[in-house]
Amino acid sequence: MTTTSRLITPPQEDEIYPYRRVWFSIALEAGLLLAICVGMFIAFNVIGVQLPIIFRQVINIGLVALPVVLWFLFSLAREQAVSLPRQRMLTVLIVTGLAANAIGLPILQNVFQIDRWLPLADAPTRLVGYAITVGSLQEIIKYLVVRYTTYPTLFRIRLDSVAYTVASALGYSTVLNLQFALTTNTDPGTLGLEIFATTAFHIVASLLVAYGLSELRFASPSPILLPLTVVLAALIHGLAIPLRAGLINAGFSLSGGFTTPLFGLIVAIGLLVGVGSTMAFLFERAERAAREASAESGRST
Amino acid sequence: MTVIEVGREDRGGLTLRQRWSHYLVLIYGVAMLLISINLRDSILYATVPYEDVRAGIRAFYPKGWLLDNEGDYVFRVRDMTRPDFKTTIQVQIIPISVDSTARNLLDNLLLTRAQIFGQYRQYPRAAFQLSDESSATAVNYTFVAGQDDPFLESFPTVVAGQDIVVLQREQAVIVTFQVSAERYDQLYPVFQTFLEDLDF
Amino acid sequence: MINYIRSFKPFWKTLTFRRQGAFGVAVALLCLNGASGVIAQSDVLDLDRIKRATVFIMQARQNITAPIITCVGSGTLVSRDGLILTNAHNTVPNANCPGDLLIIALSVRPDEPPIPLYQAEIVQADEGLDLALIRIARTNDGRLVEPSTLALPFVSLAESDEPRLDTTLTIVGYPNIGDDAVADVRGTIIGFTAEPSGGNRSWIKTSAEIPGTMSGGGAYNQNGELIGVPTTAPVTPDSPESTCLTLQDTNGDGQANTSDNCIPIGGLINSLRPASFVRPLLRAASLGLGIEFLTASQQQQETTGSPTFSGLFFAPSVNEAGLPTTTIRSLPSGSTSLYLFFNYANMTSETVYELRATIDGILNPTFGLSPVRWSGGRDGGWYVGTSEQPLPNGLYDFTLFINGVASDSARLLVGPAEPAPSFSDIVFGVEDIQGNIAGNGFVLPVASTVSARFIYRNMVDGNAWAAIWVRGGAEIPGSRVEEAWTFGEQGTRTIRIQAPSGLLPGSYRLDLYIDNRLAATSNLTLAGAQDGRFARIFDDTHFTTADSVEEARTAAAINSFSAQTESIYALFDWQLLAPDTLWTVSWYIDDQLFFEQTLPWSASETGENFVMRITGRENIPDGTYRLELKLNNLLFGSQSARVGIGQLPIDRFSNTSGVQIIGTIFDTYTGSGISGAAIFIITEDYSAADFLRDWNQTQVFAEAITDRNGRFEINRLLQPEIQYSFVIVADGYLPITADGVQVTPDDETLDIPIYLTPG
Repeated sequence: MTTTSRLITPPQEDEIYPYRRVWFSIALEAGLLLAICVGMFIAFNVIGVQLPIIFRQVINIGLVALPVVLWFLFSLAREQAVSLPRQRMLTVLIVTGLAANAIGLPILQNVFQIDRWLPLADAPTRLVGYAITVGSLQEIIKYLVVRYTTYPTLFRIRLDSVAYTVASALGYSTVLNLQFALTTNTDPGTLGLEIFATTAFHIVASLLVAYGLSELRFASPSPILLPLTVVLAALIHGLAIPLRAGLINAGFSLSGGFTTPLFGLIVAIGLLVGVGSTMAFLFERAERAAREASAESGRST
Repeated sequence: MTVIEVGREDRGGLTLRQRWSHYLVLIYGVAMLLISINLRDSILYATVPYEDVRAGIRAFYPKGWLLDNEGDYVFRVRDMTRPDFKTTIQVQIIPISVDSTARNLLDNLLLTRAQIFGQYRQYPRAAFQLSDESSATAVNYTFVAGQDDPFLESFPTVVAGQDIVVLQREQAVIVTFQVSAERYDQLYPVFQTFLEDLDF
Repeated sequence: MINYIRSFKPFWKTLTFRRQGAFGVAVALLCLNGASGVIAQSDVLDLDRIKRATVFIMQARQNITAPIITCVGSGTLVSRDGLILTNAHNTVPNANCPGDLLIIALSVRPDEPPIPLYQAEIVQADEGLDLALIRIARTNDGRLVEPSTLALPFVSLAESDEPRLDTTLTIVGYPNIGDDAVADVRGTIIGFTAEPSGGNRSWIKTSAEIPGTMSGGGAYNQNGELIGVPTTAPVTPDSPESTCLTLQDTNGDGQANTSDNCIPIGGLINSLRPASFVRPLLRAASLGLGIEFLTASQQQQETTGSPTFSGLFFAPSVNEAGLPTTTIRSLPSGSTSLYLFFNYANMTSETVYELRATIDGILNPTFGLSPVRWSGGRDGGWYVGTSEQPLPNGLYDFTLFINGVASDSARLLVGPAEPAPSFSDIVFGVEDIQGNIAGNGFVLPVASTVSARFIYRNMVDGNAWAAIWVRGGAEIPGSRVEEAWTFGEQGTRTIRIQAPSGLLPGSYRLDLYIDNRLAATSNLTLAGAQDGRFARIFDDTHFTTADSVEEARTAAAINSFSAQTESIYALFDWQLLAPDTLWTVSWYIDDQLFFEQTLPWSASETGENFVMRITGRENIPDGTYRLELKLNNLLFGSQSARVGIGQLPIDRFSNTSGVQIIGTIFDTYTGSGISGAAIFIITEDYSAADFLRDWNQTQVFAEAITDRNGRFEINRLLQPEIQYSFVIVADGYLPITADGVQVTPDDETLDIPIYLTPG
C-alpha cells in the first residue's frame, strides 16, 4: 500500500471582527423602537384601546425604559460577546442622565425659561432660539460627559465614538422621556411617538459629534472641526424640535383643530435615516481613507 | 474591514489640536449660554412705544401684550398668554380738585374697588419715587378675580396689585399693575421697567 | 372615524352584491333625507341659545340670616350686558310680592335647574302692561358688576309687529319654582285680544298651555326672535282661586307650613304680551333714558273703595279713537270681530282682572283673557275685543273677574239676525254755515257749540230715541234730546250741544238710545283755543339745558345740543286743558318710541312752562329726540332736537343673528383641557399676522378665555360671509392662527375641539 502525500489547502479563515457592530445595533434598536412605538400609537390612538389608568402608567414607564432596554439587549449585552468589548458604556449613559437631570433641565427651566418666550416667538426666532438654547445645551452636556469619561483613552476605533455618544444620547433622552411621561401622564400611543422622536433627535445629533470626536482622535483635522460638529448637532437638534412641533401642531378650521402626530414621526424617521446614513457613509469613507493611507505607508516601507 | 489603530494613542495625553478643539467647544458653550440669556431677555423684556398726545403720556409697554385704549383709562395692556390672571398694566388719568390729596384719591379707589373686587384688601401706603425724582404714593393691594362668564368653570385667582398715584395740577395719574399673586415678585421687574420709561 | 370604517368593512363583506346595491340606495335616500332635514332646520330657532338666555327670577325680602323668597318668575336676557325682560308683577314690589331683592339664576348647565348668580335692579317697569326690564347689578356675593364686562347670551325682539294666526310659537321659561331645568312649550297663535292700551293686538292668544312660573319668559317665532312675553298675574293669596307655594320657614317657628308666607303661582297662561310693548321700554332701558315730570308730578291717584266693572255692552268694531262704532246685542254669523265695552272704577295697576268666555256654556279660552294686570287708569271706559278670527255661532257669555272674583257679565248671540234699528259712527266737529262738520272728530277747541253726526240704519219713524250729553260722569242739564224718530229709515243726522256762555273744557260723552236701549256712544274732549276749525292746546314747545328747573323756565330754546349733555329740559305752554283730561306724552329717539305715558292732566287749566326733563345714565346719548303731545291719539304739539351727531351710535354687540362658536382647547399630549388659553377672533380688516404683530384690541372682533376645563365661549356671533382670522395662544404652547375663516348661514352653534402642542 502506497501512500501518496497530498497538499491540502487550509480552509480560508474569515477575519474575526473583535468589536460589536455599532451600526447594526443602532439600526436594530431604532427599528424595534419604531415598531413598538408605532404599534402603541395604532393600538391606543387609532384602534382606541382603553386600559385602566394603572396599566397605562405601567406601559408608559415601560415605554420610557424601552430605548435603554433595547440598548441593554442589543448593545451592552452584545459587547460582552465580542473579544474587545467597549468599557464604561453604562457609565456614559448614567452620567449623561444624571447630568441632564442635574444641569440640563434646571438650566432650561430656570435660566433659559424657554416656556415663557420661545413658543410665542415668530418662526425664525423660534428656530434660532431652540438651536442656541436647547440644542447647544444638550449637545455640550453630552459632549462633556463623553469627553471626560471615555475620550481619548477608550477610543480605539472610530466607531467607538459612535457607541459612546449614542449611549450618551440614550442617557439624556431617557431623562427627558421620563420627565415627559411623569408630567403629562399621556396615553401610551402619544408617549411612544414622543419617545421615538426624542431618542431619534438625540441619536442623530450625537452621531454628528461622534464624527467630530473620531476625526479628532484618529485624524488631524482642523481644531474647529469638533466645535463645528457640536454646532451642527445643536443646530439640527434645535431645528428639529420646533419643526416637529410645528408640523404636529393643529391647523384651525371650524370643524376643529386636530394635531397631526404622524407628521412629527415622519420628521424623526427622516432625520434618523438621513443623518444616520450620511454619518455612516462619512465614517466608512474616513475608515477607507485611513486604510488606504495605512496600506500606502506599508507599501512604502 | 476596520482598521485597528494601535499604538497611536497618547494615553491620557491630548495633542494641542485636540486641546484647542476642546477649548473651542467650551468657548462655544459659554457663548451660547450668554447669547441664550441675552436672547431670552431681549424677547421677554422687549417693549413697544405708546404715545397719547392728548393725555400727554409716553410709555414703553411689554411687547406682545394686548393694547386697549377703549375703556375709561388712557391705555391698558394685558399679557393674554398668562394661564391664570392676565397680568395688567394700566394708566388712568382722573380729574381732581386742587384740594384733593393722594389719600382722598386712594380712599376713593379703595371704596370703589371694594365694591367690584372680591376680598379687596389694601395694605399700608408708602411714598414712592419715580425715575424723574418726582414723588408719588404707592399702595399695594390684593383681591380675588375669576371668570366673568357664568357658563364657564374656573377657580378664582388671588391677584396682587400696586397703584402708583401721582398728583399733577388738577389731575391724578394712576399707574396700576395687577398680576397673579404667586408671580408678583417674578413679574414686578416688568412694571419697574415700565415705570422707568413712563413719561407724563 | 377609523373605528367606524373598520367595523363597517366586515359588515359590507357579508352583503351580497344585490344587497350592497339596496344598501347603497338606502344610504343615498337617508342622505337625501338628512340633507332635506338640514335645509329644513336652517331656519329653526337656536333653542339652546334661547334657553341659556332665559333666567329664573326670585324676588326676595332681605332677612338677617337668609333672604326670604317672595315671588318667582321667568325672564329673558335681552342684551349682552345683563338687561332682563320679565313681568312687573313679580319684580316690582307690591302687596303680593313685597320683596326688595331680585336674585337672578341662570341655567349654567343645560337640563339642570338654574343656579343663583346675580342680583338685579329694576330699570324700567310698566306695572299695568306687566312688563319690567331689570339689569344685573351685582354678583350674588354683593360685588358690583360692570355691565361692559358681561357678555351674556341674549335674544332679540322680533322686528315685525305682525305675527300671524297659526304661527308656531316656542315658549321658553321655568316650569316650576326653580326645581326644574328651563323648558320649552310649543303652540300656535290662535287669536289676538284687543284692549285700549294697545289696540287690536294687545295680547297674543296661544294654544300652548304654559305653567304660571313661565310668566315673564319668552315666546319665540321660528327665527328665534322674541315675539311676546307669556304673562299672567297670580291673583291675591286670599282669593279662592289663588295658587300659593310655601318654600321657607318665614315666621321662624321651626316649621315651613301654611302659616308661613307663600309664593303666589299663577294658573296656566295662554296670553302673551306682544314684543311691540317691550320695545320702548327696552330702548329707554338700554340707553339709560329717563323722563321726569317736573311741573305736575305724576300723582298717584288715591283709590277708595273696591274695584268694580259695570255697564257691559258689545260693539262690532272700534274707531280710531278707540271708541265703539255702535252697540249690539247680537252679531251676524261670520262676523270676525267683537268688543266688550265696560266701565271701571277704583282700579289700580295691581288689580288683576280676567275675562272668561263661554260659547253655549262651554269655556272657550280663545275669546277670554287669562288673569292679567290692569293696564288702564283708575276710572273710565275699557274694552276687551277680538278681531281677525271668525266667531262661531252660539250664545256667548262673558264674565269679568276682579282679583279672582266674578264681577259682572254680559251675553251676546252670534248667528242669523234680523236687521234692527241702529245708530253708529258718531263723530264730533264744528259745524259751518253750510252744515258741514269739520274738525278732527274727537278733540275740539273750546267753543259754545259742538255738533255730533251719526249714521242711522233700519230706523222706523216713531221709534223712541234719545241723545244724552255727559260731562264728568253727569248729564249736562238741558242737553237731553228725547223724541220720536221722524228722519226716515237710514241716513246721517247731526245734533249739537250749545252753551251761550261757552262750553267748559273737559271730557264729554254722547250716549244715543233707541227705545231706551244704548245704541251708540262716543267721547269728545274739549280743550284749547280755536285755531280755525282745530284746537290749539300746546304752544311754544321747546328744549333747553339749565342747572335747575327755575333756570330752565327762562333759558333760551336750543335745538342742537352738544354731545355729553347731562340732561335736557322740555317745556311748553298750554291753554284750556281741564284737569283729569287724559293726555299722552310720547318721546322718540331717531323716530323710535322710547317713552309713552297717558295720564290725567293735573296742572292748572291754562299756564306756561310745563317742564319735563330727560336724563341719561351718565349723559344723554347722541340722537334726534322728538317730543309729541297728544289727546285721544291726536297730535297737538311736537318738537325735535339733536344731541351730538344727531344719531344713535351703532351698538356693535346688538346682533343676535349669526353663528355662535364654543369649544374646548386640549393639550395635544395629555388630552386635558388647557386653562387660561386666549382665543381671539380678528375682524375682517386685519389678518392673524397683523394681530400678532400689533396686539391691539381694536383689531379684535371677539375674544374668550378658557376655563379650567379648557372650555370657551365666544359671546359675539359670527356673521356669515365675513372672513375672520383666528388666533389662539396659551402659555407654553405653540400658537394657532388661521385667516379667512368663514361661517355659513346654515351653521348652528359650532363646538370646536382645538389641540395645542407644547412649544
